[in-house]
Amino acid sequence: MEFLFFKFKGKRYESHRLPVEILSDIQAYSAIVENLAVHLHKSQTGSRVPKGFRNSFKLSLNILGKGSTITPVCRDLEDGYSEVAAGQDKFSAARDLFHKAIEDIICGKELPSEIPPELCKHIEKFGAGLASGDEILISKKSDFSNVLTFDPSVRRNMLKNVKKPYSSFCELSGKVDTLSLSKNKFTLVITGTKEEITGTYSEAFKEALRDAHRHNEKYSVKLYGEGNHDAEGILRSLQSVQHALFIKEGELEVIPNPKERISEIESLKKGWFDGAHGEEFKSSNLKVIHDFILDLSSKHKVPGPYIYPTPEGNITLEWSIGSWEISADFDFEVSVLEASCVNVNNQSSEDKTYSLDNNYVAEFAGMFWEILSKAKEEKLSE
Amino acid sequence: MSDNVEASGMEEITAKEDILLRQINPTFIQSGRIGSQSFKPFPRDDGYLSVHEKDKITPKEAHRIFTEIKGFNSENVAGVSISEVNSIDLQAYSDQSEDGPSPEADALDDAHASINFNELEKSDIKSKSKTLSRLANDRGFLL
Repeated sequence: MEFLFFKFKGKRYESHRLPVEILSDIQAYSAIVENLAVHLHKSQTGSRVPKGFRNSFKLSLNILGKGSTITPVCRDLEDGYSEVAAGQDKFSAARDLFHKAIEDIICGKELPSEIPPELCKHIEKFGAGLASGDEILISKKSDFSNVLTFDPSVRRNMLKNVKKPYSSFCELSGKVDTLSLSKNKFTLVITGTKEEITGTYSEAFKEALRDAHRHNEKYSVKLYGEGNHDAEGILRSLQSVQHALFIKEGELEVIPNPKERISEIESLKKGWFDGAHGEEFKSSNLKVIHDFILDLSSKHKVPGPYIYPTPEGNITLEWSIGSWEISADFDFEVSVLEASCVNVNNQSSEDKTYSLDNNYVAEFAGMFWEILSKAKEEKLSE
Repeated sequence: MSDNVEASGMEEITAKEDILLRQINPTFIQSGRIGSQSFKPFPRDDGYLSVHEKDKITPKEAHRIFTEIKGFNSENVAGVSISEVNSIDLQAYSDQSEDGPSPEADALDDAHASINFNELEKSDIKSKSKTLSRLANDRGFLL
C-alpha cells in the first residue's frame, strides 16, 4: 500500500543519485508517525496500545524508476489488517496529523495541540542533514498534486514550536527530604534514584507531608499532582499535590485517613445541614464505603478520596486528578454506585453506574485508571 | 434565559470580574478541600445556587450576617467569578431576597444572587458543580 511519496530537491540530489543520508530522514519520518500513532491511541482510548501495535507499522522504499527523484514509501500490511479499510488506522491518522503540523508551520500557525512535546526528539532527526536550499517535498499522491515543502526553515520553526515548557499530571514515589512549613514547599528524593524534585503543597497535605518528613526513614510517599516539565519534557517540579498514598514499612496508608472522616460523618445528627435538612447515616452503609476505599487502595492502588456527606444521607467520594474531577456517589436505596468524571478544562465527561455487587470495586478502579491515564496524556501549556 | 428567570424579573450579572461568594458548610470541607456538594443546588433551592456578589458585600461581612444574624452554619467563604460561571454555560442573576429575619440582614439580602442550574440534566449539574468547586479550590478561601 502506497503510504506517501518523497521528492528530494537541492544540489545534492541533482545527479539523480540519492545520497544515503536520506535513509535516516525516512527512518526519522517513520519514527514520528509510529510514536504519534501511539500517542493518538492513548489519548483517544485512555489505554495502552495493544501488543504488536508498534510492530504492525512497517515502511519500505519502492524501487525507484530510472532517473526518478521520487521516492515512494510503501506500508507493508499484514493480511487481515482491516483498520486501514475501515478508516480507523491510527498510523494513517498520525501521518495526516504530522502533515497538518508541517502545513500549519508553513502558514505561520502554532502546532496542532495533539502534537506531544516528547515527539521533539524524533522531529529533530527528520531533515537534520538538510543544507540551505535543500527541500524534502512530501505528498500522499504520486503526481504531487498536494505537496508540502519541508526545508531547514520549516524544521527550525517546528522545533521552536514543539519545544515549550508544559505542565501535566504525574505520579511520583519517594521520600520527603526537606520541608518548609512557612513556604509550603518540600523536596522529594525519587525512589531508586538520587534525583530531587521540589514541590508545592496546599494546606490539605501539610500534616501528611510533615509526618512523611519526620519519619522519612520509615515512610515513602506516592504523590499525584500537576508537574512542571521543561521544553525537553523533563519533570522539573511539582506545582501542586492532589492526592497522596503513604507507604509505611511496605504497607499502604490511605491519606486522607478514611476511618477518621467516616467517624466524623457517623456522628452527624439529623438536621446537621441547617437544622431542617441533613439525614443521619447508617453504620452499615458507612462500613461499605470504608471497605470500598480500603479495597481500592490495597488491591488497586487507587489513592484515597475526599469523603463528603450529602444532606439526603448519601456519601460522595471525590478525587482531583490533573484536569479531571472524579466522583463516586453511593446510593444505598437502590444499591448503586454512580461514577461521574469531568474534565474541568473542556467539560468532556464520562458517567457510569455500577450495582453494588462483587465486581464493582474492580470495575470502578478500571475506570479510575482510564481517567488517570487520560490525565497523564494531557499536556497543558504553561 | 429561562421562562422562570424572565418571569421573576431577575437581572443577569454581566460584570465578568465580579466574584460570587458561596458560604461553605463545614461538613463539605475535608483537609481544606471544598467538596463539589457546596456548588450543587440542594433540592430546596429549585435549581438555583444561592450566592452573594462581592461587589456589594465583603466576604467577612457576608459570613458574619450569614452565621450570626441568620444563624446558618458556614466554615468559610469561597468564590467563583462571573466569567468562570459563564465559561461553563451558566448564568448568574441578581435577585435581592427579602426574607431576612431582621434589618441587620438587609446588607446580605441586597447582595443576593443565584446561579441558574434550572432545567439541566442530573449529569450536567454534577459536571458543572465539580468545575465550580475546582475553580473555588484553586482560588482558595476568601476569609
